[in-house]
Amino acid sequence: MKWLPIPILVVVAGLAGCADSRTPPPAPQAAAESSQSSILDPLVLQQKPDNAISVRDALKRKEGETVVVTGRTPPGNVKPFNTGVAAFVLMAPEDLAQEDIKEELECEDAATCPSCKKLLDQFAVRVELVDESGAVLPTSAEGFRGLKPGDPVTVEGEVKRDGKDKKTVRIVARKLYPG
Amino acid sequence: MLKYLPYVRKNVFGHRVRTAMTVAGTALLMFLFLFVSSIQEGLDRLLSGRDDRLIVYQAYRFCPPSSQLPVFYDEAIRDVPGVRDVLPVKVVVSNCRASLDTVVFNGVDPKRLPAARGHFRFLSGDWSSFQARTDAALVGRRIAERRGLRPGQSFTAAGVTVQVAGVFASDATGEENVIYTHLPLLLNQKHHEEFHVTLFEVALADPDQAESVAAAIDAKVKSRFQVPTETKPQKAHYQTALADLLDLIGMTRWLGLVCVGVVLVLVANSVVMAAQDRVKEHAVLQTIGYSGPRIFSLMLAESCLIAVVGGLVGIAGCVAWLVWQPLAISTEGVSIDFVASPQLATWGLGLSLVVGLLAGLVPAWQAGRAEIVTSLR
Amino acid sequence: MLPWDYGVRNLTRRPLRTVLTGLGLTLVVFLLLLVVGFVRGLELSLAQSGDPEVVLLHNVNAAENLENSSISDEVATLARTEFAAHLVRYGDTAALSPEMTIASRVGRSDAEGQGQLGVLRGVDWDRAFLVRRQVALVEGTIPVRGEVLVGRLVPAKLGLRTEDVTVGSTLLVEGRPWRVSGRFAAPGTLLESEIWCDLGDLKTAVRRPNDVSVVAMRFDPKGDPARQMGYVEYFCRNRRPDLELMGSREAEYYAALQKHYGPMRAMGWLLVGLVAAAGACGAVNTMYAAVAGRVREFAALQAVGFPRRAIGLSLLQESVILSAAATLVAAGLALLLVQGVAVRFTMGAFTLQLDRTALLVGCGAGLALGVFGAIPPAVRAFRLPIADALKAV
Repeated sequence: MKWLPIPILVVVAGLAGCADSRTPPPAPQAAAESSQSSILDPLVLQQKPDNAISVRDALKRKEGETVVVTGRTPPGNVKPFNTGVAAFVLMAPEDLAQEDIKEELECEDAATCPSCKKLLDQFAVRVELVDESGAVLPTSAEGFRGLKPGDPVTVEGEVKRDGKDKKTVRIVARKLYPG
Repeated sequence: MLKYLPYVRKNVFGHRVRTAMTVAGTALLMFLFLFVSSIQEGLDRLLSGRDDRLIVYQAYRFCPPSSQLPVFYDEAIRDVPGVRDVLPVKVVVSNCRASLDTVVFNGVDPKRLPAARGHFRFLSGDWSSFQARTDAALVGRRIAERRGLRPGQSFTAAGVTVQVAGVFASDATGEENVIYTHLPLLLNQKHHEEFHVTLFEVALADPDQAESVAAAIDAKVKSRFQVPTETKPQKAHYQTALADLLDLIGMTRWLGLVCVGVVLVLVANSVVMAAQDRVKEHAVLQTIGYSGPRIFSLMLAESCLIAVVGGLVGIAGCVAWLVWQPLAISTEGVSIDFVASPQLATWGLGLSLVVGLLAGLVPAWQAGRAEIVTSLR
Repeated sequence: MLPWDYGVRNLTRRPLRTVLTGLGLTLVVFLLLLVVGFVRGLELSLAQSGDPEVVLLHNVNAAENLENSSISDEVATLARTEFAAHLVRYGDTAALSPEMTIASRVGRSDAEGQGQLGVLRGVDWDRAFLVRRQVALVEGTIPVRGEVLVGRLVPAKLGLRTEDVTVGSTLLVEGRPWRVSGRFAAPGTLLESEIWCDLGDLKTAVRRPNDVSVVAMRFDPKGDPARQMGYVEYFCRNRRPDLELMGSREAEYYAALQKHYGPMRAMGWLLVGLVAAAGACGAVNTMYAAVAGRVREFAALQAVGFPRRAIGLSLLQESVILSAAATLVAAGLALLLVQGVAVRFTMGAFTLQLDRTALLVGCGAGLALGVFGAIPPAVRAFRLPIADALKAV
């Protein structure tokens, strides 16, 4: 019966081999700090404009109108800031405070779910910050001067209407006031 | 035999730990056995259900979003001899893949649904509350329980938002997993699907003519229109839709059988241990007049009692769980309920008894045939 | 310490009991490995199907079911220009593949009306392999019009024998016969259960001349993934909202599918737990019986000087030897009968996988049954004082 220790040794050796190897250390984060400030600073207004309209009003404006819009970026689950270019979403604070909208936007998949998209199409404006030639600026606006989801922003720009019924509104902005 | 029950009970409870472990192990495995059998029961009920209804689907299609039949096919199908009524249905599912939590919307004409579903029993709400709003929904009992839905609530899934107008119960298998809503609500979802439905439900004048009517519908559609159809009795339609799950359900059947095998070994081991521990006792019983067959029957009774008690606990636990937490597995818009019916529970209990008999057979036979003198030594 | 042989010999004192317990443990561990093999097979096929470099453009309403996605034909051309700076290139050719995926009935050409659900993917042969790196042609040739390329798991997916789907055989798709021109391998991925054909051919067959399901793109792995997805989102939401597009990393899509199958996997683990608990009951039962009849023996051993620890270790040794032997047999049977068995599942097929994790769980549970099966009986054995135990019957 002296061979009987062998099954135990085999199984233990097998388990030692089976044990998952340590997770490799995470890849080093991308270096290069963005030149976010140098790209966005020229757009910043010295003070908040007095003639700003709300997002609710901006949604009713015609294509081509120049407006100054003040609003708030939706909460983090919606991922309101584009991660590659200076584009983000604004909503009226009164709409963000409504219980049913708040509940909808607090869901985990708010950034991708179709019902949240419908909500944003109905209640939000999409803002893109552009340069002199009209090309969108190649840096995210998140983090610029501390901007984060839920913060107020005022922008000045031209209204564009998109979508099947021209109901969704986009603001092509050349001026910005974070706050 | 009943007069020996106290003796059998004494032996069983005399070794509390052994009995408890055997009963616990049996209970767990019979719980598992009944659980996997309940899927098979649900499948059998679904496939043995009504066959007086034909389903007209786009040919070669499985997933509901991929079947797009123009609404105007309705008139052509209605004119086929043997067709009593036609109900266009738009099916929207939260996911085509196998899931334990799929939401299935059936969009229908709200004025025609009462005639098509006259067998519904309303647990809350009624037909008029369903017809009053364009976004109203009638929710099947099982999905209402699963999602905690009540009349007056708003509910969103698969990009569709409805207001619950009522909850219904139905004896037709699988129907209680469906949410009925207004056809136009689902039709406006996408541009090119505005005038398309998923399927047509055809009520037959004579169910015996199902095959010929189905063939006639397909032939007529093929001769007049571009998108071909495939018409089948509802049972056959379900079988096609569930084909991918049948392998899995077949595998669970083997799982159930292996569980029964493990119960057999567990109980047999327990009886062997009991027999070996009571060799002298059985010899003494034989000296005072108990025959070999009597010893055999006493051991067998012990084995059956343990197996049946364990089976009862496991089966009762599984039934209680499925009543408390109704489950259904869905794929391609068709749902299979986990059904722990009284018949299945009885069969499970009977199986426990059989396992008890088989497990105890050999050790009981050995105990009954032991030599008195050798045993006393 | 008690001699090693002592524990081993005790197992042979009651051979029938030992065999029955061993048989029970073998069945239990085999069951565990079967269920865990299923769960791991599903998890691995989903994890390996998503290429981390691939980004999919699809319909915004079909984020969870790409087979139901429908986007305009022009998206491929637009994307080629829009994302030119981010795409992997092979010479002048960008790694961008427009594809149409559809689930349809597929069967043998001599069995009209009896097909099963097959997943068809129409691809541009000049570009598909630039994006689908996991796919390799293993037999035959790339299809021309009227031909298909089948994955190695297609016979299992269609419920056919391997010899029914060989190069040169014919499958019935959308009511038409299509010749099998070759076979491809995409090991461990759901792609291996698909049937590939020319994109134009499929669009004609399903009467969808103006759209595709997805545009699959391979983005430069050296680029900033967040920035790349930012550009995709900007294109979809701001530049062309009329196209109703959305971009998803393929790996994230399959991660979402993992989540979708979460309840089913949880159920699988629940079954594993139940089976393991039942096995533990059997192991404890046997060890209790082993201890019950040896109270005097243990007392005698203590009386001659062996400490309780040594006797307890000997009990543990008996239990673990039995469970280890059962685990070995069960693992051997499982590797022989279960490993690599193809299972047909919705929208695909995968193979049962007894990988490191599955073997660790199964064999670990088997050994654990031996360890925990010995502890309660050992504790009980030493309750009585030595003098009382020596007088026990």
